[in-house]
Amino acid sequence: MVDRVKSCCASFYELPVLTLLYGNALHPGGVPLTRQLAGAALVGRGDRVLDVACGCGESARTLAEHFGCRMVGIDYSEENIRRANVLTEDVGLADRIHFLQGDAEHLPFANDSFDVVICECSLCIFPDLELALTEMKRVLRPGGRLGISDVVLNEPLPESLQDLVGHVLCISGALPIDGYRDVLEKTGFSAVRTRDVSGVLSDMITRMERRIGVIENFLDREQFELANGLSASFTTIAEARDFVLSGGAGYALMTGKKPIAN
Amino acid sequence: MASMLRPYQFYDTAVSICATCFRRVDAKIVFQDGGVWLLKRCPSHGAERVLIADDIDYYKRAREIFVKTPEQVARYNTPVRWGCPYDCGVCPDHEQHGCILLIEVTDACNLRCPTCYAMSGPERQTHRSLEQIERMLDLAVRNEIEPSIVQISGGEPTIHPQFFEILDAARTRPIQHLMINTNGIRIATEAGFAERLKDYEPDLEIYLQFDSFRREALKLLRAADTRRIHKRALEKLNDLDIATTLVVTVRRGVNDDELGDIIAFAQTQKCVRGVTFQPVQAVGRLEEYEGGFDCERDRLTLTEVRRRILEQSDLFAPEDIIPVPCHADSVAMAYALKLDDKMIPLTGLIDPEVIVAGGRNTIAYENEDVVREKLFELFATNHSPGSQAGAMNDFLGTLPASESLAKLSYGDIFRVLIVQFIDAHSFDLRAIRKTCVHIVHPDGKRVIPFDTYNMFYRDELEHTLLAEIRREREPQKLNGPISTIVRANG
Repeated sequence: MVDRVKSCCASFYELPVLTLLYGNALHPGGVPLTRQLAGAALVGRGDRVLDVACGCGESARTLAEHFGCRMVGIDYSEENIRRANVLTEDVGLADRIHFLQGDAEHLPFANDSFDVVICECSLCIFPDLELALTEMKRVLRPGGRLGISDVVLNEPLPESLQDLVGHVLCISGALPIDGYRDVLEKTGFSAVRTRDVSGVLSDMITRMERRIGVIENFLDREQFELANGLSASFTTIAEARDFVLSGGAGYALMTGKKPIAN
Repeated sequence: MASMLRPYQFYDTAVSICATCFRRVDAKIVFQDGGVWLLKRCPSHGAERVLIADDIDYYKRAREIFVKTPEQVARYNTPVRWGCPYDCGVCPDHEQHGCILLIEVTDACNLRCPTCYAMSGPERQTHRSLEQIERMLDLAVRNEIEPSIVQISGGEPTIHPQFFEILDAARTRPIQHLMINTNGIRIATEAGFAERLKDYEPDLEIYLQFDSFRREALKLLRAADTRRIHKRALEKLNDLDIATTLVVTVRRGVNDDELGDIIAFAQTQKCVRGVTFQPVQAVGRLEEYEGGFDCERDRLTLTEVRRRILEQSDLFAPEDIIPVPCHADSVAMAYALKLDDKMIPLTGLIDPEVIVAGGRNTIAYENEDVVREKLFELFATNHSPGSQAGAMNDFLGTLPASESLAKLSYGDIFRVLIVQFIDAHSFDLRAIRKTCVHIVHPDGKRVIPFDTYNMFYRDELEHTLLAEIRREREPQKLNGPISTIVRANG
């Protein structure tokens, strides 16, 4: 069952229509927020950085270029990894980025292997959040930094939004910001800091609306919706934005350190 | 055919100097592999590639966001004649007044540090006369009217035979803060010395050399194990509660892993108001490094020091250590509020726009007024920046009532500064023109930016290197500044 959820989510992200809706970065805030997250996690030149749930490797390529770090990306989807490798080869970054298929709850790396671990917009889809975080801490070196970005849910999701949001934003396990803080501290991270960046969520919704407006002019809408199983999306996007603006949901960056003395 | 791509992102052109012959050369600033690089080529000495920052985003923020309208000195002492940086004095083409003015009262020192930019030592016994020092103080006042900070330096200023007369002379002038740059030996070893210093409060600060907790590191940087000196000097300064800044000269691979420990230690010392980190500048006596000074091996940039502080200490988040707008390339700051046993970082709570817009054009001390003022505003408008809501809540939670803010004083603020001096390797004319640490020349006629002073003007350099360069140059026929002051401040 758990495997089915994980691979369902992963294969959902493989849909080309999502690339159309989101652009290449499949998370709110896109490349600028990825950079901000990496900056907050002190990614530096030559650092060994792991991206958990790396998708097709957009963030890994951004960070390798902009921060001069060495990247490893891991994702549950074989197809994502295949594409990540192709895309990375294309831009000539294959010498400093490696991708492999794997499970966030059983990271295939030795202890203390990385200076930084990042995980964007994926934490809340892992069936066992604490287990995933414990694994990330294990593979970090002492003094290494964790950088998380994810959806924050302050109120239960309205019934009408569950179809859209439950899939597109994968927030089944989203927590309030203090909930994340608690679990990071419970897992043993120190210097835990959170930053509210909810603006990126409403920006993303606005952009989706705009793209949909354009798409509708070119495609037979009924066909389009059926083909992608997104029939709920178009009518509920405005509602989703209202929910975000009223503070029901948000987005946050979270950082922590693996303590030097364990 | 595939198009050819540069391996870097081109950012800007620059004017630099060759690190071998110190002549002006063209340069480029590029981003590559997460670093900011200065690429230059000297027609005689070939190409150089120097890392000037290891954090592209911070570098761009410093250059593009933390920008203030340059505040000027009250008078220019030298004309524009040979072109920057060969006219220092300050000339009308400089873009910043002096936030800190150094007065070197002696070349003598009771240590002989391999890192000394002034090449001081026991073998040099030239103390400047009190009369000459008074002329230098007068010039400091003429240039700045009410200098924010005058730092009595050297050599080791406390071994000047008329040291207290110098302090008296400074005190009779309108100097806002008086700083004494010392290795602490006299404070530690001479009974009654610290007590006499106490008489010069308020607005007195001891700028105390404090590089390491480790013997080997101190031997390398200072050629002496100064740990007992540190301990005794701090005991006395703590007993008397004389405001003290710990000054750490940072060298890669020697003490750059101790920055977090030094900040933690500083927080436990009653007298310590902050820590200033200064990466080694490649000037002075550096040939005495084992195997000579190696740019790649020994240089450290401001952003590398900043990164180490953030890695090694949990006190500050990245947004708390920000460029100081008057000289954003070279100075970074972070403030925290000391409340009982708690430290609350403050700088990240204030929007950069507010820091850029507020206050005078100066580093340190007066910024504390800005910080305080802005905190009042935050309370008054009940507006907390969204990204920092958590920190702000912590802050509010620790205060019994907002009126306790009114009691905040200098002693409650803990400050971390990073001051990177520019050398011939990292030389970027744009940054040099904003240099705001100035040295009063012993001739009592000129005030020279610290960075160029050590490259071109100190001791015999002016008569050898600089004279030679000037001979090769055509003096400008119309020797005025490129631009003139068009408006008065305030």
